[in-house]
Amino acid sequence: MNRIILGILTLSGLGFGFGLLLAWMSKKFHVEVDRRIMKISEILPGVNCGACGLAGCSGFAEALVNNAVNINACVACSGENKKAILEILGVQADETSTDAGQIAVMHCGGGMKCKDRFLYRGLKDCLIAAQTIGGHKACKYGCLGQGNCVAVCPFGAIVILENKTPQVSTQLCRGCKKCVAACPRKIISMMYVKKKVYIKCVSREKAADKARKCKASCIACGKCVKECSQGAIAINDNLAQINYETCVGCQKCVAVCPTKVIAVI
Amino acid sequence: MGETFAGGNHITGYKELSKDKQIIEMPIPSRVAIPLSQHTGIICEPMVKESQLVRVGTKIGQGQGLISSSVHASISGKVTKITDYNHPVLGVCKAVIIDSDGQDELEPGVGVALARNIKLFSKEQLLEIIKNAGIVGLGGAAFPTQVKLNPPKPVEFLIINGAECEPYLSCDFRIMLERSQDILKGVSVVQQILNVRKVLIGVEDDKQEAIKALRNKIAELKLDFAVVGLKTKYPQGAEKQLIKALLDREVPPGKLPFDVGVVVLNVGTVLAVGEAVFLNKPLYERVVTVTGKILKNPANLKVRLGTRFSELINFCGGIKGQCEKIIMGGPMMGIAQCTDDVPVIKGTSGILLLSKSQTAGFAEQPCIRCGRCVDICPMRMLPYLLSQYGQTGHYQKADGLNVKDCMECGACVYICPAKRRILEHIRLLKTVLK
Amino acid sequence: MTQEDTKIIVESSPHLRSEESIPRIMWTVALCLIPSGVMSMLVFGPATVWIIISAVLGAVITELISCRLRKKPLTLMDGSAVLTGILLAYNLPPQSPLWMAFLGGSVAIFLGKVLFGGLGFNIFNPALIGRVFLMASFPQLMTRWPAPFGIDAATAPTPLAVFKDGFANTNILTQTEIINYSYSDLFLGLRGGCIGEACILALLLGAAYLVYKQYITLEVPLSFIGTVGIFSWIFSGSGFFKGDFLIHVLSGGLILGAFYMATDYVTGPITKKGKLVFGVGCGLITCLIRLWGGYPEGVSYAILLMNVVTPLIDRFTVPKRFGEVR
Repeated sequence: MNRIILGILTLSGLGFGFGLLLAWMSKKFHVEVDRRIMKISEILPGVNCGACGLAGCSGFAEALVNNAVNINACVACSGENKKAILEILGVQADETSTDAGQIAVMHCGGGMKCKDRFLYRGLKDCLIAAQTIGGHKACKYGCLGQGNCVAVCPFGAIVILENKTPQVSTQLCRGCKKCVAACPRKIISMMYVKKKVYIKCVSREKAADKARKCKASCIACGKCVKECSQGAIAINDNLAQINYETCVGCQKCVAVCPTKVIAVI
Repeated sequence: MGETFAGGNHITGYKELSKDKQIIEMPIPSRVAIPLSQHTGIICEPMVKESQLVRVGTKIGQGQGLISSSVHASISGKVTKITDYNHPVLGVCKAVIIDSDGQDELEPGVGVALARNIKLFSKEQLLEIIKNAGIVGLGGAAFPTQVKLNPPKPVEFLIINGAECEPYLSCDFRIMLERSQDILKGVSVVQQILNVRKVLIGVEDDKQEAIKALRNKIAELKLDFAVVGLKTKYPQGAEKQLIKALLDREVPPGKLPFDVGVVVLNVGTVLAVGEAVFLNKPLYERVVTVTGKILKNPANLKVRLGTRFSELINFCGGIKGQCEKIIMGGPMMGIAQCTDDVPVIKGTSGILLLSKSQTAGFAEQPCIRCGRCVDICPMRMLPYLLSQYGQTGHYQKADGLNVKDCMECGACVYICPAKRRILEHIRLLKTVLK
Repeated sequence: MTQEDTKIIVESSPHLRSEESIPRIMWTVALCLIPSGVMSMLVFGPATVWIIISAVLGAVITELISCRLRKKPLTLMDGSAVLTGILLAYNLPPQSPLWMAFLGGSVAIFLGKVLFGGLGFNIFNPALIGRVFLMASFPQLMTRWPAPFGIDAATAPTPLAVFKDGFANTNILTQTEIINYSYSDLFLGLRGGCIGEACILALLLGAAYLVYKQYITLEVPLSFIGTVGIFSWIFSGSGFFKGDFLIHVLSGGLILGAFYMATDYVTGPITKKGKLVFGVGCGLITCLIRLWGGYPEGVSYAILLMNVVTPLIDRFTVPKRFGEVR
């Protein structure tokens, strides 16, 4: 019995002693940390997407406190959160400093509507698919559907739909541009959400060729050009293009497009 | 036992399908599509216009720049179109379409036997002849020969590559057997251009007839070439491995054979050189092995460039059963085609048809670290590790593993029991780390 | 055929694959272990078959359940679970209770393989994990050795255990006398020991086929056995270079371990040079345990310990780059 008590006493004594030591050490060797860094880190998305060019979100928070970086370098943070961060930093928030508003859009709606040249069998990777005698799609500009953009997206905002076309979720996309770099066919670009409409085709082939290969291609018919009251749409190289300087987002062009190539965010 | 290198392995050859078939000259096709890029380097500029009449051997595309080669008409007739056409390597490429007039009329001077004494020709003159004949490496890489024969520093050895280590193919074997004298004449020309004394002809030792034929001809012509038997294994015919096997010299990473004093030429290429010099014949036809278990009559055909694959397949009696893969070249490094409506080009050594059972898709399994790929890799790399890094996206980790050394011979994929797509992972790494 | 004919498959090269596959390798190794199992049946009685079957069942059922739970495709047909079960059973004493064999197989697969992520990701040989688990949990059951052809299940110590006791008594004359078995007895497996380790002849027959098929290479077994031989020749006698190395080579689980377990792909080094290092290391540890350690047998621990160093060996035995002058 004595032994048990002795054991308990020894161990508790040791524990108490070490506890005291630790408490003393933490006081003695305390390093002053800017509390704002912690607070900002909590508000930041925490996905470490790297779009700001710094080492993760905590690195960005530190840089913000040190005034070494602009808040808009973070593309993943929503406007409200940016305002909250600016408040912590004690900076007056204004309109421009909190307007990210850019998301990625896919300029190809081919998918299963675009014919296959052959059955591709190989690595599920767009880079490799593109190298395999020019890709398995009849259209040499269009999406290969192997999902490199899906894999690279830190927010899980891109999915390949049933019809084999990739889709960006407007809710989830934070505009980090990783997918833009990952796409070998360069069909992804960034645009402002408030601009509303975009063209879902990148092929610059002749209209007849395009129509033969893909049912979801811009056939350069010009109906949208006529419909647009602002004169914001033009056809260059067999492809409709929207001038976002003059486009007002009225979406009249969407209804007239015979191949449904003009899409709304 | 023949000479060899470390690594590699024996791969079932399937050469018996076409090995004993004599080279047959294929009838002139009614239409050819001659791509303007059939070589490594810049695409040719067309020299003819639509509806212009051409004869066999008329130059129709002029090589541009230093590393380039010309192309010639392979039939006589009318140029109907210059347009984009299917290409076995590039997918699509600008091509000259010629409709035959059925005459097969030669360009004046072409194909006339010339009793040229090459000793009287200078190196530059001979290189000019080769350049004008549009000769490129016929082993598959299609590097312009006149560039290869003009190395920036003198070389010691000329190696003639008759290994033909790719399974199924037999066109080099047939020409070594049937055209040994012409090959040796070509070798003499190349020997004079390079000014080398030592000439080695490497042939895999499963081709004893070819070795014998070449040795007999060498004795008959009193030449000083050595025919060396090589161990039959893949990839024995790869340039660096061939040099290692014959001379025990290793070409350093990123360097070319001439850096170790060697020039390597394929047997088909030297045959073309010989014909260009002694027959004034530009490169407008080549021997192609058309083979596959589902082909009725596999054959070695002498074909005009630009003939479409479908015509070759029909000439060989067509297909029994369902064809799932059409491959240009051998099964190890050949390029799968999406249609049989592609023309034969200078680098087409074979056309291989595979049936459904031969193309069964394999599910990729995790690596079991058996080490077969490391043992077989002729470049002494670590394919299993590269494959893991490529698959998991750890691209930077692969940086120190010399990805660029890989010559994509595919031996690791062949041997892998987990059926991993090692080579595709390596290609991915190469693309990302570029 | 037209351009739209999508029946044509395009895949990047190579278009030829060898006949080898993981299931083929695993099932062949399992097959090569059968002769030894048959011998154990003859020597220790038919009960051993049930032990083998329970160990295999334990392994297979655990694999089945874990595949289901992880929602991964069923990997039973690749034969690796069956092989693990057989190897584990071969490492058990001939009178092991069936529940223990079953438990061992189950633990081998779960702790040794599934927890690491399945075949190809485990760092320890699963069968040996199972054995070591049983050794630690049921030491008495794991060291009850019946005599060969024992009718009344009389226990008799294994040659190595006898040797270990005898080694302490230096006044005994020759070592074959200590253990009462002749070399040919040892070679044919007429001695006490685990189910599958006894008959060297049967094991070598299977191994010879594996070598012929190039499923295993000789680097590991030869360096392993060679090291054990040399080491025991030097140190196991009454003076230096007086040891009876044949006893050490022929008894215990050395042959089974060297040919079937140290050659495991997943947990061993990749390169030939690395395999040599691995084999020598296994041999040294085995001898250390046998001669001076607490257990009479050290093959299992030796292999497991060397499995730990495998990544290190791999790192230091990278083949020289082609064309690089060093």
